[in-house]
Amino acid sequence: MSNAPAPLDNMDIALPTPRQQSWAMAKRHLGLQIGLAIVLVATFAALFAPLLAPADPYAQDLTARLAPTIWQEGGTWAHILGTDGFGRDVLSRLIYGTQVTMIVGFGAAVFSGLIGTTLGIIGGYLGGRVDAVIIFLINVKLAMPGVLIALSLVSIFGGSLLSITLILSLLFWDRFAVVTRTATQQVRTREFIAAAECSGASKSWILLREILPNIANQIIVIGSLEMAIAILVEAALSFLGLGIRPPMSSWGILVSEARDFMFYKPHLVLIPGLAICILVIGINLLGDGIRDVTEPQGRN
Amino acid sequence: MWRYFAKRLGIALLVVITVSVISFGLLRLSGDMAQSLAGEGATAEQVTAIRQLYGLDRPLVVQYFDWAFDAVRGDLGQSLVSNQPVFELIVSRMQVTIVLAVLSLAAAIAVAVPLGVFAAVYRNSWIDRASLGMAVFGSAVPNFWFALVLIYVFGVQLRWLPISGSQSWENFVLPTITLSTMVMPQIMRLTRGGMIEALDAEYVRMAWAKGLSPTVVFFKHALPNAILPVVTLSAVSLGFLLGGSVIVESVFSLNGIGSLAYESIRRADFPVVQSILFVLSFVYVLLTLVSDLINARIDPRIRLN
Amino acid sequence: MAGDIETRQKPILSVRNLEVSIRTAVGDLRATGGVSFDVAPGETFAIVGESGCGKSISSAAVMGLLPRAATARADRCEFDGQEMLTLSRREREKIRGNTISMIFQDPMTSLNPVYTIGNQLMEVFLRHKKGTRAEARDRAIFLLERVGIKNAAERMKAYPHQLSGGLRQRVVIAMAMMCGPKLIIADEPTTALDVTVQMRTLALLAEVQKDFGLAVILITHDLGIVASLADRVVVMYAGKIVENAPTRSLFRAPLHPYTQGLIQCIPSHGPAGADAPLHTIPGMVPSLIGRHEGCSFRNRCALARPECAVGEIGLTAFEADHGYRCVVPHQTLMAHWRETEGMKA
Repeated sequence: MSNAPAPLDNMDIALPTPRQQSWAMAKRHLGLQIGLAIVLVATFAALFAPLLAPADPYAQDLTARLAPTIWQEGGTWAHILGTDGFGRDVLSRLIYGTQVTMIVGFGAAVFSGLIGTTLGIIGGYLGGRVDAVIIFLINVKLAMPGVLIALSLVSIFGGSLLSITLILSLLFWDRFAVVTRTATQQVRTREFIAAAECSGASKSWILLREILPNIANQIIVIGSLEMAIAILVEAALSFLGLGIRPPMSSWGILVSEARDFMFYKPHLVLIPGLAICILVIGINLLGDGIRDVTEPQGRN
Repeated sequence: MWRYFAKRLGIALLVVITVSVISFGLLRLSGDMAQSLAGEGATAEQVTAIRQLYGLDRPLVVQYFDWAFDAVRGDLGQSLVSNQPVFELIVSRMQVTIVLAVLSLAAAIAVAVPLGVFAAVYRNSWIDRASLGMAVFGSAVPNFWFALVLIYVFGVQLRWLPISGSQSWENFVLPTITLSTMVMPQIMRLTRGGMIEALDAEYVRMAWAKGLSPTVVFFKHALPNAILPVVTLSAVSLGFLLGGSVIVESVFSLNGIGSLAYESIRRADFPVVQSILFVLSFVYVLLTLVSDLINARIDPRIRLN
Repeated sequence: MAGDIETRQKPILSVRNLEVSIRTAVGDLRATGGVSFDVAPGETFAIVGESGCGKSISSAAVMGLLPRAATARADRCEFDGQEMLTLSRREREKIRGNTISMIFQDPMTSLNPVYTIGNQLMEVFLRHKKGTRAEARDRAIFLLERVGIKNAAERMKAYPHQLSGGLRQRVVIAMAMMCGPKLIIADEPTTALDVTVQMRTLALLAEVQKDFGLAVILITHDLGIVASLADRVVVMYAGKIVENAPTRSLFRAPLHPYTQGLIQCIPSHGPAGADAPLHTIPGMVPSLIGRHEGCSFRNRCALARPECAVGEIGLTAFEADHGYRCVVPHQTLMAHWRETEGMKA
């Protein structure tokens, strides 16, 4: 390393290297660890729902309607979280609901990530007219009221898992595009890209092999954010009756169905809502943790 | 600056036109409008007659321009369900939603901006952690569920506030709280981030070096620089709140534009849906222009270049 | 040069054993370890060293402008007879911008973009002097003209982005003069400027200093600037002063191997002039985390020997006002210096 006079940092102090700091932070980053744990538990529940659920989530038993939870008076181990208005086991419906939540959330994050990242790095790398068109698309997307568009599209295309995932993807790509576009513009000016260009690498090769790995951590962070939002919107659509259709189990449907009994069985509303909260907090903590650990300017 | 705004205005106009094309397309995707107009048991002749009557047999492009020219004159067509003019319908429902959205935004700003400033000034203190914790919770809580919890606690258990309708100001308290939590975390984070950036900037070090008091350093030198993106976000948030009030309006039985949209979507009343989408994006675009003007007032670099 | 006489006067700033430490994710970082120096009234005092040597943080400690994570202690840190480190916030505010002013590295960013330069100039005067706005305005226009800005009254209404970098640094110099300070701390005042503008700005600073008879602490990594401006120099490395001398003495007899390396780094130094390849000192600045024994420079030093790794190395006096922190005898150091100089010729 050269020691010829070089521009100085603001405070003029040699700090530990980024890698040292990242590792030290990851080991002490409680938020990252809690977030990871919550997301892993939810993924596990979704993958192994049939094995974990104590009962059939669709089996109605009108003789055992609105059974209390285990901590309430008269609760039994047969229905740890009680039963709903049709006598279905709440815990089982909750576990099966994880499937819808995780599939829609993860699927929407991946698809919207694909759309947004493609547009973002193309715009950021090529610049000029292509970039102007992509910025315009982003502006048009931002100007449209997302939730209402989602409601309209679901009412047209129906509430299947696939259609909801795709519709949400179409709504959430803009943040990916904005962030990857800026990140690409920054990466693009660095020396190794110029080196690759000079050595005759094709544009697609540079985009995929040089630029994408360098903005991957930012994509993951946005992905976690969009997954959290997609989960919230899916729940809201299902709650309004324009999402996943009953009797399938989604956390939004659980809240919606429990609304009728809210005044005397509030736990039926509380439990699925808290589940959404905890999962979304977990995903956000994980995303924030990844950002804190990998991106030096995020450390405030 | 005026050239800059002329350009922004041109782009805004293009955005509005594109959105109108898309919402028009959305209407056509819904299937045969003549069929739904004629009703379930209509004969083929009746459907054809209706198609001719409404001009639905013409090419799509012609229909679009027909609709667009009417829209420019304020004629957004008629509801398929109530036959009322869509424009009147929207105007009659808009008031509740505007009141709700403006109140929610004001509440969010009033809480989030001071909180963000404090969090940045006392970085890593308990107030910073508490406000970040609140932001994490606020952006994770599903608003339909939060609304139900508020209704249960304040409306049913404590009986402090009414849980539905829009007769008095009290009806707006719970919906406002619900809706403002949707935008508060973002505004808080952005204010905090902007303040931290400004506080680390050389001009703030210079302000300290000039011996200025903390109040002057924070509010004269740091805040105006930190607030620029917050202004933009607030304008965007207002647009978002106008469109995002559908859930809150449905839970609290408020007759605003959100519940109108919801009803219309359920009844496949697509002229109304399409017009609401169009009007909301129009308002959004207007709001971003307003935020540009406010930013130009604050920042001479925008104003004078 | 007046330095020899003036240092015997009562110093305007006297620092003894200043230590600054910073909490980081991986442990405490000793930014400076026992820095001592005196600045006489009216003199130009340079602190030289590369990035991370602790020169800026020392001045920030004196001003009470340390980042939150940093703490400072010292046996003495007296400005104009007042102990700086134990002052209350209000007392310290009365000194900053009033009797001590600062000039920062980057004039692009040290002026607030949302206020006119007039506003920012008058602000500091109105804060410290019980004058009217008209007086503040007059003072600002007078100083703007003094630093060579034409149409000063008109320029008062300009925003920072409307001025060039060189003009902005002139505004910053005028701002530092608003309250008639006794000391200006200039932290890399020209690093961010074009080379041609650099020399003019430095000449202006020297001129203003002479006119108003104030002391300047010049913090820089560029010994070339020091040679033309400073009366006395301290060279810092890894948080410690490694050499301390009047400027002439330092360039005549640079003793510490690090100082010798720095002088070699001046592009125009030596007979080969600007055509010669740029000299660099091999190796990297050591981490300041935790405690270290011995000389921090030993890993990069051509003269390193086993004793260098042991104990705390003190400052040895070469002449009365010229000290160096090295275990090697000064004869050997001088011989090494003559040898490297000879190689170039």
